[in-house]
Amino acid sequence: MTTSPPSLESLQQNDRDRVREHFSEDPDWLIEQRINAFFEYLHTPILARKRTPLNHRQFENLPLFTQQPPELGGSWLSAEMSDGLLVLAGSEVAVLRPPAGRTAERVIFTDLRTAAMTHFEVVKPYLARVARAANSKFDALNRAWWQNGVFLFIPRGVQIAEPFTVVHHQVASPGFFPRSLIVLEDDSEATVIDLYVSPSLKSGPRSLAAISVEAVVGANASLHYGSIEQLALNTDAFATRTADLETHARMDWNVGSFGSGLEVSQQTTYLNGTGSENNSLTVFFGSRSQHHDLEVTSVHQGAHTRSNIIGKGVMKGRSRSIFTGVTDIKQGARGSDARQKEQTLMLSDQARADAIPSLLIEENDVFAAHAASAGPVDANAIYYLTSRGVAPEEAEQLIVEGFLAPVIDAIALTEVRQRVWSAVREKVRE
Amino acid sequence: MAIEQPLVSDEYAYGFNDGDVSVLKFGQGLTRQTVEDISRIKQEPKWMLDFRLHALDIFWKKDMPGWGADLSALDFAKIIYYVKPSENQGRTWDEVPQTIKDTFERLGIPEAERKFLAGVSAQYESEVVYHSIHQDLIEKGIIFTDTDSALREYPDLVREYFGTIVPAEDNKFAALNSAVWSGGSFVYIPKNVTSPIPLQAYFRINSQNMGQFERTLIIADEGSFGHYVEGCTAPIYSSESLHSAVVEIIVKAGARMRYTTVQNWAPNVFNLVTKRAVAYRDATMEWVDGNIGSKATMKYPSVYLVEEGARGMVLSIAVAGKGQHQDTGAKMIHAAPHTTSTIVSKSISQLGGKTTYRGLVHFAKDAAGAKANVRCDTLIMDDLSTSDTVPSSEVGNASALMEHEATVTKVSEEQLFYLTSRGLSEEEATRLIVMGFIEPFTRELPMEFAVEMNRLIKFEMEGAIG
Repeated sequence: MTTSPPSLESLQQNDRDRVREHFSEDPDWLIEQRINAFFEYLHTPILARKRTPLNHRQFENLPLFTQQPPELGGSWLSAEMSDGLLVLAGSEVAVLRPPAGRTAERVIFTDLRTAAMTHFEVVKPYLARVARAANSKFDALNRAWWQNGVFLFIPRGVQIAEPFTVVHHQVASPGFFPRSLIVLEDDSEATVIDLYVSPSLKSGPRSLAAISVEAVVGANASLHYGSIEQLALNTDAFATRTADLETHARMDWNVGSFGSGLEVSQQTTYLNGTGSENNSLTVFFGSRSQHHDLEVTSVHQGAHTRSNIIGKGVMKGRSRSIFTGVTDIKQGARGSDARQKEQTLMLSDQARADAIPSLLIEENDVFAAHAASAGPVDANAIYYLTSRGVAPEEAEQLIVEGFLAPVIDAIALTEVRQRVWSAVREKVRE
Repeated sequence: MAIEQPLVSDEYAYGFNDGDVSVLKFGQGLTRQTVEDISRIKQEPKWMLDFRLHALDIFWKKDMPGWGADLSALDFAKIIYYVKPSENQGRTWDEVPQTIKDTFERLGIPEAERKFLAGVSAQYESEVVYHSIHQDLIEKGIIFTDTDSALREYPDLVREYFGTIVPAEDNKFAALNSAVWSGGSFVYIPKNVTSPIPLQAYFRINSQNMGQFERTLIIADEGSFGHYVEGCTAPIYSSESLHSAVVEIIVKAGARMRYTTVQNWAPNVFNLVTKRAVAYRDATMEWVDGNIGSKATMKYPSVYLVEEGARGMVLSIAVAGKGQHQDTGAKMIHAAPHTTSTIVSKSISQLGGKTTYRGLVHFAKDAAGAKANVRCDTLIMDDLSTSDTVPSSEVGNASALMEHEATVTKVSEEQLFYLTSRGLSEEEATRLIVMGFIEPFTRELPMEFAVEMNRLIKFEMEGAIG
């Protein structure tokens, strides 16, 4: 890698040679893809989020890379993590444990850079294919500058119960571009967990994270996906998550947003195949002056498709959240069933929570519904608990946990469930 | 689902026109001169002319809305901004010119007045041509007149409130109305006075390319109660007409005001209306809003709940047929503690029409203990029709409580099966289900008016179903 830290601004005046030099070890097709993505990034307008004005934020002056050595938190190497573990420190692979089991040899589970070199025949047809539909400026940035990430390929008919866990460790570098590419062939099943963490929550240089996840779920395949974002408060994070579902495919999203000063996410599931199903759960917890602008979309194109979007948030401090659910039923998606539910618990008068649960329906033979609510901690419940000797802070924690329990306890992935709970408890104590 | 016939007939019953009956008609287009001429004809005070000209500048500067219905067919240069239909305003129907009177007879207004209305205002093109109010309401001190007359007869009252609820700066169409407004109603209900029966205004467009810009101002003083009802129709022409009203309502402490609209514009009318009310301590404001016709409607009645205990309600139905887009909704701004609001919206799209519910519930920091409940339901009658539901909520207070629910479905197969298996035809069954769907709306109409409304809808549905 080059030693001079280029900034986005300087690169705008530069040309393809700069990208070529920076990623000199990459195969030509990938360099070409990066260059194209970079031009796409420059020419794609910034996300138009009405309640998150981005025009005045100075992304352009952030240096993209510096040459700090990776600092890896030892906690991620705990013994409880078994096989199927990838720990990335910035672009470097710190730990890679392949999955165990008899089918493991047919499964590809490795870091994305290695995969692009050694399994390019599998990676190339899928990389950036699904994500491009999202037309996101920050996914284009990621496609141009991703340093590393994960590639998981499950061949036809292979079902693996044990989760694949990926820790994307933000090193002391201002630019963080992790990318996940997950491909499930027909009749397969897998569980993937992406964890995004910083060395320290409260310190570190101002930085920019463009997180991308793309998934292709083949016919009758099931992908259980979990993601927990706990990046430093000095990070502006932009997450683009996109999935394509084929006939009778099933996708479960379990996404937790806890970190970052600013997080803007765009999660889109394309229900292309007949009978495909999308279950999307987002848990967010804002504190201090965090700003979370989360958008979750189900695009129903196939007939008899089902989707359920759930957003559940807790707001404290001076935090701000915007949760936008979009149910987009295209003409021809007959017999579709689409639901949304958004609930916010307000712990502070200084916090603000906006919800926009929208239904865009072009087909009459459907059922679509949404419900949203926001409300305070029940004063009677606090009174009840404190009158029985529970400390007020503890009572609040109990109520927050009671609010979140129905969705968090429903997360089938044990590790994600535990991590979400510990993230929630950290937030409550903050 | 096999409904062959639309809920509301494609035939528009009020599409006839009277030819040109005007005594004064402006040319097409809008200039500073247009505004000055309107003000001069009306012999307005200087402050109103200044208000109009200031608004005109704002209108020219403001962009068209970047969302909502497609307004590309709307050409401001083709609109006629002022048409005076008669020399004088009638106090009895005999004083109204025969052609215009015949029109209102066909629309059933004089009959309705005789039967159950406390006062009637009939606006034809730009001016109110007929006006009456029961003597006992006058004796109670209730003022019900057209806004032009109010400006002459109650200049201080008008000047105190005019443009305070919907400023010209609010949006492009509010600015346009502020510049060229003509007609509309002025209602004042004194302290602790109850108006037991509704006051009605009826708005009729007759000319091609007509722009109708009525301006309504209603003040319900402390502890009073009033109910105002408006209806609208227009002839069908091949080119577009524009109806762009502004309605401002002040509901003072402890008062209750209900505003009921049944809008049934012809399918060539752009209906772009700004309706807003402010409710003070323990006051109640209710919008009952029915949108059946027009080419495109953009209308979001709102209530600013500015003092403790104020209540707001919007109850609306929207029916979009062929080529129509009903982009409607409601806004509730909770700016004070313990304010409450309810929004119930029922939408039906059929024959390729599109309905959009667009709403906002906002809880300001001060809205401690405020509560809002929103319910939106949509029926899509056939596979040509579409619907969007875009509600937003903004919660800035930890003790506010917001609940929102929405559904989009077709007519239930099970309900149809149940009804047809008991001997109803599919058309009858469908009509029954649809009537049940909109019943929360019709239930809220005053009984006598509901009869009139049913007659109207039945007339629309004739030959369409059953």
